[in-house]
Amino acid sequence: MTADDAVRIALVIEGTAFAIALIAWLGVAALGRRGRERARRDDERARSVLRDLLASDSPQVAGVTRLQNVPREATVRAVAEFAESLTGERARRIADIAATAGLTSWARRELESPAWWRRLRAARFLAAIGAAEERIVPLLRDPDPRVRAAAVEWAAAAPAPERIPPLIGLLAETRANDHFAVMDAIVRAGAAAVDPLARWFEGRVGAEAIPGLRVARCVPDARLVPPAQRLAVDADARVRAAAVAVLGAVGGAESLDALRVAARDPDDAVRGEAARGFGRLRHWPAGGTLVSLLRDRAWNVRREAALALRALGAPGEILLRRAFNDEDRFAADIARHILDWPARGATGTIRR
Amino acid sequence: MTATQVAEFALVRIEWAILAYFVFVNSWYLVLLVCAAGELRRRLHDLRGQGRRLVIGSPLAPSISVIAPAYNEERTIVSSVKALLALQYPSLEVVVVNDGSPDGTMAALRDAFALIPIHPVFVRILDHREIRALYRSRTHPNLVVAEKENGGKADALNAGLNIATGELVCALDADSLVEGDALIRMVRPFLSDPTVAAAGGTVRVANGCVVEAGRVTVVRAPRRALAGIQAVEYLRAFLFGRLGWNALGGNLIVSGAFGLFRRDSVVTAGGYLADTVGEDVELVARIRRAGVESGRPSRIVFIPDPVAWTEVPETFRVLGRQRDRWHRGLADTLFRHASLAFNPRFGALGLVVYPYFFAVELCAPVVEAIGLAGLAAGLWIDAVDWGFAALFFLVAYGYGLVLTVTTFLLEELSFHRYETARDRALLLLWAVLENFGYRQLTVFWRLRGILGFLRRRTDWGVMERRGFGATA
Repeated sequence: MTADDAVRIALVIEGTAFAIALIAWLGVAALGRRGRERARRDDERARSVLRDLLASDSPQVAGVTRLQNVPREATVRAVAEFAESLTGERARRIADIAATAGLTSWARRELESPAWWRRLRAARFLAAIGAAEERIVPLLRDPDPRVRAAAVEWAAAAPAPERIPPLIGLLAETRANDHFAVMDAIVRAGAAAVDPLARWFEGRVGAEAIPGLRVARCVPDARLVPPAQRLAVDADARVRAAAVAVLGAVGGAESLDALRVAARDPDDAVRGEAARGFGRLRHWPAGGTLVSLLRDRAWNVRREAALALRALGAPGEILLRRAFNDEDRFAADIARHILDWPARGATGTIRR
Repeated sequence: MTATQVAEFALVRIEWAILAYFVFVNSWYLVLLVCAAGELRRRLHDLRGQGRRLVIGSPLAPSISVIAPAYNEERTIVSSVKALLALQYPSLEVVVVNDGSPDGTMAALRDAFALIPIHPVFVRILDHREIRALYRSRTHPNLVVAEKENGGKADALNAGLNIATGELVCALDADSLVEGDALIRMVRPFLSDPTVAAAGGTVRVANGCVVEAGRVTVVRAPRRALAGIQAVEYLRAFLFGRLGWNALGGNLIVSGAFGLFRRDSVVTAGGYLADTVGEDVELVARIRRAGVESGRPSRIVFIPDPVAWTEVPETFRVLGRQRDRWHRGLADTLFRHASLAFNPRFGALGLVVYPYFFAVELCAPVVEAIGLAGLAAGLWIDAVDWGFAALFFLVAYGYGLVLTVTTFLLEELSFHRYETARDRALLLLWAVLENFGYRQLTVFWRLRGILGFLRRRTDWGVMERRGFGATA
């Protein structure tokens, strides 16, 4: 074969590939546009039927039949969309409509699918309507992290007491791919998660307790103080900082004692969390401690202390003003910096 | 053997070597394309029915600081910052660093956002030129503006990193138009994978689009050839290039126009280098390297659905300077991190990613220039006939066209931003036209970049922008 032949063959192959790609592109563009138009109309139909069904006193057979006449893709989208924005009785009605229209049983079947994206879709749908579907529970240990996360979301959307412990059990999994989903789900479960979470801390030390502490900070409850107190003296500074953050969120006499101890911790992250805790609790008697933390050698501690003083309101602002003349230049600087912030009590919208 | 015969023999061998290089490069592209298609499919399945309220409503979502360095952005800065402040994210801080602009950038910011000076205190972990003043806004408590001496983009970004308080930092150009939900989309890999150090989003070309209040409201393919060809290039680079690398060992590039980083990863790596013109590529290489060396997070991922729009140059002069600078930056990064090459300690980074970027991205213009020169010489001495030359040219560039059209297909199957037949026709036209003159010019500009690197040039050149109001 000569060079000329080789180039000609390559050209023919390229030409064919180009033609196929071009036809596919233009074909998909034409069909896709029509498909999107059709999907938009179907979505509108499904929404309209759902609105009617929700407006009526009880789901009517005729209405459900109308819903079944809309392509399932659109119905699933519309039901999930409605469910996400409804609560209480109306949310329950949507779940009933989904069950009557056969969508729940469709999703149940999809949960068994070998294709991860079908399991994912079904789990998300069931999570959106808050369906009490126990077949999702095994998906909490699905091989695909996305499916696991959807199952976790479902558990949080329908927080029955028996579902919380397995959810909390996932906090200890080293397979960290769905940690955020797990932690967020427990936070959303709220008060129902507190007792199982407090039990989860039993016997846990070191870094494995950190995910639980991060959750505990967002569901502050006095029942979480004992484990947080224990972990506030852990050997690992990251654990101490996370535990002190929990104490600063919960408050109470015991927490305040622990915060005072933490304010003298050798690790700056722990001292910073202690300062933040005093500010969060608006604990003005801690003003003196916070002023001493303004002179801390670590920037984050000085900043947290200044922000905490500002959060105390007038007493804290007076202390900050006094710090202008502090012999420690860094304390004077940070005090001036934070007091210069425009909005009174503002800490920016970076969540604190 | 006569001199002509020797030259003919050498030329034929060179042409075959170059053809082999073409086959190698294009095979890589094909692998990237297949990987990108798989990644895109997975991503689209994942996006279907994904609730964004999960992040919006979560007290556990990490805080983000958007750092926007600005230099002579008087005309666009106010609308850009307003658009940044309107980004959907629960815990957002916007840090604008005015890098010593001699124009009215600072005055525009002061007036529009009721800035008041605050005592300039911040932690100086990274080096940068002096910050002259620090401001906070009376109307937007999450806006911080720093006014500093001019030191370049990397210097401004380092200043922003020192001031920023978010766990994640989003580095972007002040004139990038970021879509409202881009951060919510972009943060996802950080939530699901603690080893992710940085994530890049898609950058698309805003020239020709309708822009209102700092947002692209109507997407159109550019009507001008130069911007249109770049729109095609960007589509190709992001939709199959960067996406494909997710599956092949991770990216080496997170666009300076739009990237999200773990702040502590950037700070630990030493921040942006001021003495390179490829600070974004260099930082990513350093983060990946430091991650392997210290066991810190080092995965770099690309996510196709968060989008930032950028205005691309519309003159050859400015575009040439930009491409020259990009290539100098790449060369500088690859030479600074030469010890990565074929180093098994760095896994895919050393064995796949680095060699690819060296052999394909860096050396392609050299090989292409030799190929073009060889072809011309062959025609000159009659070693190659015109018919063969034309066929060779068609094969070499035709493959690129196939890849481009396949990228259009991927775009249509996924995000289909270009909706009208006219836009598609324009894209196809630009895809064909880029092979006639434009590609050869980019070869020249990139060669100039390599020469500039060898001569240790570190200038940026001036980027002239028409402004988004004028591009519609």
